[in-house]
Amino acid sequence: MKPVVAILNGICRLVWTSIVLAVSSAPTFAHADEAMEILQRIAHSVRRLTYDGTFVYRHGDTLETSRIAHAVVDGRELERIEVLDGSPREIVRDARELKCFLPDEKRVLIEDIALQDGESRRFPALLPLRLSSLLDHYSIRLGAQGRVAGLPSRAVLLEPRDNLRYGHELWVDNASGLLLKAVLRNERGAALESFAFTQLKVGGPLAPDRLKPHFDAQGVQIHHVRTVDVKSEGLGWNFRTMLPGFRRVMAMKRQPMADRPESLHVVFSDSLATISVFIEPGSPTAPVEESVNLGAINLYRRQLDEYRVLVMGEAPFAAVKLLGDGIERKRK
Amino acid sequence: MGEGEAMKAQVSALMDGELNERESMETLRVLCGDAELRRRWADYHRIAASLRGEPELDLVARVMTAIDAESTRSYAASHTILDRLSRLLFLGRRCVDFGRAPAWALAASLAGVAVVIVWAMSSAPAPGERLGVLQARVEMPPALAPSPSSRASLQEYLLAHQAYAPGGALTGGTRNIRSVHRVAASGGGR
Repeated sequence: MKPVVAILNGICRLVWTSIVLAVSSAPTFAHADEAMEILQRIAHSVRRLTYDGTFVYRHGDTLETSRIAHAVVDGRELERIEVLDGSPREIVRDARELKCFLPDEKRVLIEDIALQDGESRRFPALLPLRLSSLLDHYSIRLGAQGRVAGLPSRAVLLEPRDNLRYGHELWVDNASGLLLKAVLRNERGAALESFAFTQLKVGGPLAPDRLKPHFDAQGVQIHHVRTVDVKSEGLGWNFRTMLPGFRRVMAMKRQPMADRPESLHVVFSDSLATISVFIEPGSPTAPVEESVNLGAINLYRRQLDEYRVLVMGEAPFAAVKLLGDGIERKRK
Repeated sequence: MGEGEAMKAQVSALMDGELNERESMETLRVLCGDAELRRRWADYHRIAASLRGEPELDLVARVMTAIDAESTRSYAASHTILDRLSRLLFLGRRCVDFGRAPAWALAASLAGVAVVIVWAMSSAPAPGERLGVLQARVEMPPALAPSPSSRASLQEYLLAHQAYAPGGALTGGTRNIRSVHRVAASGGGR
């Protein structure tokens, strides 16, 4: 047989085989498409709807109940979370700042999340293109129908295709599209942490005090961090190990109080999992390398000459360490 | 039940989406090498389309007829690509619901299949070689709690991390609770 004919025959065979598979797999694509539409709907609803509810956060053996209120006022999101168990910690967010009130420590942490033009840089909307890129690294499918917080809901399951990210089980309210329950699972399928609403009211006006801090700010230490975006050429650091699917989404200089040095914060994400790198000047401390596990969040700290590098993310320790070990100073 | 009958039952189960991924692929392999089964498969699709009141998927019949004309040599030669495609196409390890394929999904799949072939042949890694060194396992060091001072700074960094995490676009503000959750950390150092 002539080589050209053999090649054409081979191509024909591949095409027929592929058509058979395409015919048979069409419903699978349809299921994936529906799951992606649900993810898009969650992303839209969580930003645009007014809601007020109670949720439980479970991490390891600990369980805490909190209230969340969210509204959009004049096109800007406002949100307040209040922990109902133990000390009354609060988190209040608007377009400019994220405030964290810690009564036991008499501290207020303020993270400046506004860009120079006043727009919020906090987790930008997931564009369909970025959302669809999740398919490269997660197997996404529809799960069971069920009820969460008394509301009919549907599960979407995202299973990682490698050991650099965790699995997600997301339950979405059929009516509003809001995320009612989220479970993060490790490679063995064990739950690392979960959020689940126990009660939720969607829509309607909120009482004004639901979005305002209740914290008494007298006599507390305020730790206010201002941030300035940094361009690639100004980073001063190389990240030699790029984890598959993760891209750099943000880089900024953090300018805390006068008694603290300026640090660099670089954010990597695959659109679902996020790994942050913090680099701050500081003398070597013992231990030279350190790891900390906070349930779903893993931290890896190492000393690089006169700099401390801290890598943290809701990703397996393997991913956090690989990224951290690939960091080096740029040569001038 | 004879072997032939058993295979017909398998094809029927495949049609009804009752097989798992491995069984589906095995049945598809047999289907590619058996003209009688392929005709039965095409008949099933025609009947299902008729029951749903949809226009007959003549394409399925034509594909089956064309495969009939092909040498069975093609079946053996396509095993590797079948394996790779199966990994790519069976998203979510779900039993395939063959009987309810909407026409648009079929069209989309056909349109995308060329891309999938190229991808499968050129870029999809074989089992065990995926991601190379990045797949390496990293063990957690022994447990050691962080000091109170480092715990305080950890909380600041945790807040910053949560504030800019793109995944928050899906989970919303609830994830910020991690920043104020009672820190019960474990870890290690050297």
